[in-house]
Amino acid sequence: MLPSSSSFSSCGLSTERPIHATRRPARPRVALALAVTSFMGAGPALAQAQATGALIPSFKDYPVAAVMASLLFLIVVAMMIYGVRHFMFTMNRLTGVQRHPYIDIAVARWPMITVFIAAHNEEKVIAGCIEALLNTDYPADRLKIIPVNDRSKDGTGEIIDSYVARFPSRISPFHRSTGKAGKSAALKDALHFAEGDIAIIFDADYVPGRGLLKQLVAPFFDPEIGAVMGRVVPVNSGANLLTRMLDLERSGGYQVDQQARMNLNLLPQYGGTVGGVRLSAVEAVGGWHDDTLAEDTDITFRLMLNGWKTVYTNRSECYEEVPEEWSVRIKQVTRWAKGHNQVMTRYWWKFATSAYLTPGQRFDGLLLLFVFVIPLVMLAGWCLALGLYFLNAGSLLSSLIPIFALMIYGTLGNFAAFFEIVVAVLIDGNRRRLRLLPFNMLGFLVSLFAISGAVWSLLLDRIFKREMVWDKTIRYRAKAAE
Amino acid sequence: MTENYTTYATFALVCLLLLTLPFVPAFREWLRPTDFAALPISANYTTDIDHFARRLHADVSARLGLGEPTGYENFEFVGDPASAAGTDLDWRKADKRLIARSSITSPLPIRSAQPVYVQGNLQAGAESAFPALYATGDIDLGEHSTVDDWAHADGVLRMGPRSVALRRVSAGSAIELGNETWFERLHAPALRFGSGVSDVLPPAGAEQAPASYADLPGAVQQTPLLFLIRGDCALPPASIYRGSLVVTGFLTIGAATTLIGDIKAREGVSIGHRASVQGAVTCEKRVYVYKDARAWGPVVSESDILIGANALVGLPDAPTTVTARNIIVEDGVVVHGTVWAREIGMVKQA
Repeated sequence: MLPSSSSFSSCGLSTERPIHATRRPARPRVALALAVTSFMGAGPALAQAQATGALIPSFKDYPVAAVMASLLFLIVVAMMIYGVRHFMFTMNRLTGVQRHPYIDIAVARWPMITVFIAAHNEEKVIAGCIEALLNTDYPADRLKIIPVNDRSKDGTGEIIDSYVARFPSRISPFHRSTGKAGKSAALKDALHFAEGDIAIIFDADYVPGRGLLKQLVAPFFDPEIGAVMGRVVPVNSGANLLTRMLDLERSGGYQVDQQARMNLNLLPQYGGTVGGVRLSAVEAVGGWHDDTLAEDTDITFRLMLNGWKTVYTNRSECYEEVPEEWSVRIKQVTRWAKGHNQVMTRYWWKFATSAYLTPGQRFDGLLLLFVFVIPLVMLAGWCLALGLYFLNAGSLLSSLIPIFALMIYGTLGNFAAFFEIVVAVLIDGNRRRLRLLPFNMLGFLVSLFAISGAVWSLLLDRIFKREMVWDKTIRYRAKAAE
Repeated sequence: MTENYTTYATFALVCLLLLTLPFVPAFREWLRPTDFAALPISANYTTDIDHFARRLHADVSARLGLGEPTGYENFEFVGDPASAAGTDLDWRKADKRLIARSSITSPLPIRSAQPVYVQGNLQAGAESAFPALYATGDIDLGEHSTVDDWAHADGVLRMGPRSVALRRVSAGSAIELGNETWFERLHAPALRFGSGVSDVLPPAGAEQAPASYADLPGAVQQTPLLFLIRGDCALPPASIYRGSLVVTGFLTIGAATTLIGDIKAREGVSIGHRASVQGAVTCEKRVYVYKDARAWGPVVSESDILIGANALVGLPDAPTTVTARNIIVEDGVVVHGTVWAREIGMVKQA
């Protein structure tokens, strides 16, 4: 329920007319309103740039302003829901029961598994990943390693073949020189060669520790589990300001967000690497899709809406490289956003109506599905707020702006809200790096525009039936070694 | 008018100050980094239960000149007249870790303040206490004994009734815990609980009737080998089912029924008398393994596991894991592999 107008008066904010209505020269105000509303495609509202005393401008007298105010109100509500969600996750991580049900399975008759290493021009890093996998404590006779060399033009193929020559019984290479581009397409082709029902997938820049495979496989003893996800930790976090900001963001996303969803029996997300899938489950829900930029999100939601569960194992940590250049980072975020939104448009209704999910899972899953639309919505909210301000649309705005600002601060991080980051970094035992947190707001702003651009681009792809292009994230390891 | 502009300017300045203030430490941390290292992940990290035992063994080997230096080779020798431990045998006064170069047999309790490494067997009387203990042979501690951190025997490790074995206890051959002993994490090829008299029956067999999950009310086939049932489910006695089963409610497995596959029940599982699950058992709530039942494992509960007398978990050639917040095992239970109670485990007299 909205507060009564008298409550504003008591705070010194008269509802008789907006506080700035008589203090700003009329002509500049009109000019600004023209600029803002034109920018927003709401030019006709100019004619209604009048003060109003109601909480929401009346639809009859000021239809455009009223619609704008109502939309802004809905956006604020959406932001608040995301804000509350992040707050609940953070509090759960601090005070709730932490679920690690499978981490203690240390001894078992381990199933046959296949580990896929997705590689496209990975000569800088592929050897490290293969070496690490050869050194794991997973029984060698139950482990098949398939490096997926997807149309590499550098020395990736030769490096893989050199390992095959040394370990012919343990490594089966999959060289792919033709076919559809992209990780999901390459993996789809390679999955035909899997042995056993469990496929564990790493990107080539990952360096799994000795005990990691057992930790990732253990949850699959539960027949309900369709996918498992471990924790990703940036290895090059100290390279520059960007990597340090991404390190904070990753902490929040995994240490708090994913683990809280695991604790609350909601929907932890399979991230496509440092994790695995049950192949019979993938087959049961329609197989591996290669027509998406986010095959991990695609399979996560298809598994969930068909009654399978995903598991996040926070203690199964693995290093990865994060982008060291803004251009690379923007491309990465753009790819994620396009892929995720592709999944959202495909499955949101099926997900909302799935018979296998609890109301909580359904609600949280939908919020997760729409997370890459929120930046665009947030931008729209800013435009609406500015437009209404210059239209003198009423005192509702006076009360909404502070709330909106608060929620923006809380949810601006599309991947992890700020309080999630703070708690995550403190749990990790790194206190001083939190001083960089204000910079993350700037980083999130970049993501905000990149994601909004991606949403727009996805719309254009749909309209003009353009094929989406996989932009590979470049590697830095050799540079660091120099 | 001027006053108004002054107010605006002051307001703007305060806002600017509030906004820029957090950036001061941020800029300092950016320009002169003090905390930028990657989160440490040990490449060699595993959950091996004998991790600390192997480390002590490596330190002792280094001290005895039999292995690579470890940097932690400061020990006293038990039985060495030149050492405090050797002269008065007051184990509590030792200020270094202790090495005994031969077997120790004492009808009296040994209460050590330091970790003890024994080359050979260790037999100590009731109410013995060790922070950490390693023996290259067997370990035999009398009733009411205590191990605070870890213990490992390359042979058999026995603890008498009403003992307390906290943290990690492992053995190369077997662990035998007396009745009313408390424990946390145990690992050995064979774990025997209670009086030491196990009477594990042969598996139920000939009288079982083949049955299918597909015939159960409300069964949904998820994959060719996996069925889902919403709500509670009761499997009739003396039946044999093939495939895996997920139950969203409570699963009751009838007496002498065999399931060849993995099972999951969210609200609880009861494995009936002489029933057998030849696969994993996973549950979000309590698991009851009735008397004489069998599970190949792993057996995983997010709550409690109660294992009835003479039940058998795991196989000698396929050790497995039993893990839950609390685990209660009755007299005569045998587990091959690991039992891991995250809060506490107890051996209950049947």
